[in-house]
Amino acid sequence: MRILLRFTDAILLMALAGPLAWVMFCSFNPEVLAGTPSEYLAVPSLDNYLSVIDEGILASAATSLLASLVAVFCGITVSLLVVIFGLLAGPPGVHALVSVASWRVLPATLFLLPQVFYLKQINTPPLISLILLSSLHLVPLMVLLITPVAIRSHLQYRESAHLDGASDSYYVVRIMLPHLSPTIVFTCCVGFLLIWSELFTASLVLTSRRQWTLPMFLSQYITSYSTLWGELYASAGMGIVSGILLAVCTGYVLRKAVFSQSSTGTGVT
Amino acid sequence: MGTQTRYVCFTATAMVTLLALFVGPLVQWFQTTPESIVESASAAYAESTSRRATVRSLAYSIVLPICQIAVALLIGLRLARQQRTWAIGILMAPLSCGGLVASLTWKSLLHGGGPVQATLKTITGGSPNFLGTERVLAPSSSLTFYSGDLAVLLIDSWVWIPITAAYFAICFQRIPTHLIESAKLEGASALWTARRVQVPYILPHIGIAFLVRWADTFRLFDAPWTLFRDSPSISFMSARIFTLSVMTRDPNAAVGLSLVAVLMSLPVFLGAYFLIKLVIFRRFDEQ
Repeated sequence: MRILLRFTDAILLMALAGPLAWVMFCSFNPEVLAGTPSEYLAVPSLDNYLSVIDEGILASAATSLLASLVAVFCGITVSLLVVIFGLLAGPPGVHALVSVASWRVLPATLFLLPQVFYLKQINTPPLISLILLSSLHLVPLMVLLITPVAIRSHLQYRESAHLDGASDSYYVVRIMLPHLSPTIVFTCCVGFLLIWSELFTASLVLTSRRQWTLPMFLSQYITSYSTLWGELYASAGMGIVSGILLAVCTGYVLRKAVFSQSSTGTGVT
Repeated sequence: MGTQTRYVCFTATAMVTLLALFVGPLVQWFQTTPESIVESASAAYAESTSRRATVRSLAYSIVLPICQIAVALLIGLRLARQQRTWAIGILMAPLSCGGLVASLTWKSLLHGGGPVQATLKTITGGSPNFLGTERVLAPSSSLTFYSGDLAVLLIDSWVWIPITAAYFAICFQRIPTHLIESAKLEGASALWTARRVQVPYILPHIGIAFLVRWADTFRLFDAPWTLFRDSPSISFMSARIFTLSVMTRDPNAAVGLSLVAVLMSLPVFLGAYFLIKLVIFRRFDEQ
């Protein structure tokens, strides 16, 4: 049984890492024909990477980073305010939270297109529009992820805190937020990754090439006629490297935040 | 004004503001366009490609999350049991790379001269065209499953199963240890503990994961767009809306199609509303 489980682990790891390794391998090959690297190549080269750097992939990555960070900050601030005040308000607030959380399942495109056109009408700068729309669409997701944990800790500690004479602000800052911190970290990580890789909204909002995000930059290598494989592999390779760096950072933060608290036995899920 | 009333007022204001930010532009849109809401929606539904795209997205969004969550639960349980915290970072990798990079990666693996096709041809002598439109299943006239759908399923699962498994692993990890230890002391097997203690404890989180996956699968965009653009055969709702609004510059039809999508997903929306109320907020109501 143990061998079978180890074998399954190995297969899963291979399925996860294999495709990424393939792209990284191909990205160092300057003679990529129809998606397959040349068999005769012996010397890896950085030609593909130099080409995409010349075309401005770093600027696109910086735009993506900025948009994601600001959108997540705005989104989590609004979501936390909504959740905390909603819980403190009692049943009416909690029922309002249900409504916000369930918006998440409505197709975002229904609201997105009119919002995009409205923001264009009032001449909002495209990058600001992207940040606004992204954070707005993150709020229901963040509320949905934070609320169950917040309810559990609220029910567990609110009454004891009041009996001990804690004010509402003390209760929120010293008791509720520390208990919510792992969930807040997880929610921010997920929100960041979603905005970082968002293509649909960015394509609707950003028109100027100077403001392209990383996914928009990558999508230019696939046209209706052909695929520019060399540049595609290199830009996907850079996307993978940045993705792995992000994954390592978020994984580290999550491990610190979640697993260190679980050992204290608080049991707040 | 009492503290409680202030909280209620704040919450009400926040809700109204959020609602206005979502619904306001939509109302304004329909006030400034010559066509009515009903006309736009019925015109969008009358077009066969749009209708097929919406039905396909809806079918995907129901089947795919159920399968993905089942697999993710098993992986999450194993990760939590083995205390493999280092694996969380690895599991975040596909989502960190993004849907587009994932689609490009798999496109390079699955295309005609790629390693997957070559390996399958060597082993079995033939291979399905993962990026083609060979008919595999046709349960109804609006819903046909093509060989290219396999690639979309694969990419979506590759991106989302790991992160969902990481989410479940975190949830399992935060179950109070005394519950699991008591079960062990009573002589419960690992399977019994998982079925009767661990999974029920994280049920709200499973519900949330399902809702999030449902919504994301319904508006699936990156993989179909990268692989097939807005192909008339393998068309998805978001790709169709994108084509209508950006490529053919007919935003009214795009909003009409979005409305059709909302109407078709209304039962799921209502189901989600009651599920959230029942699973997540029950404890609050009980108190």
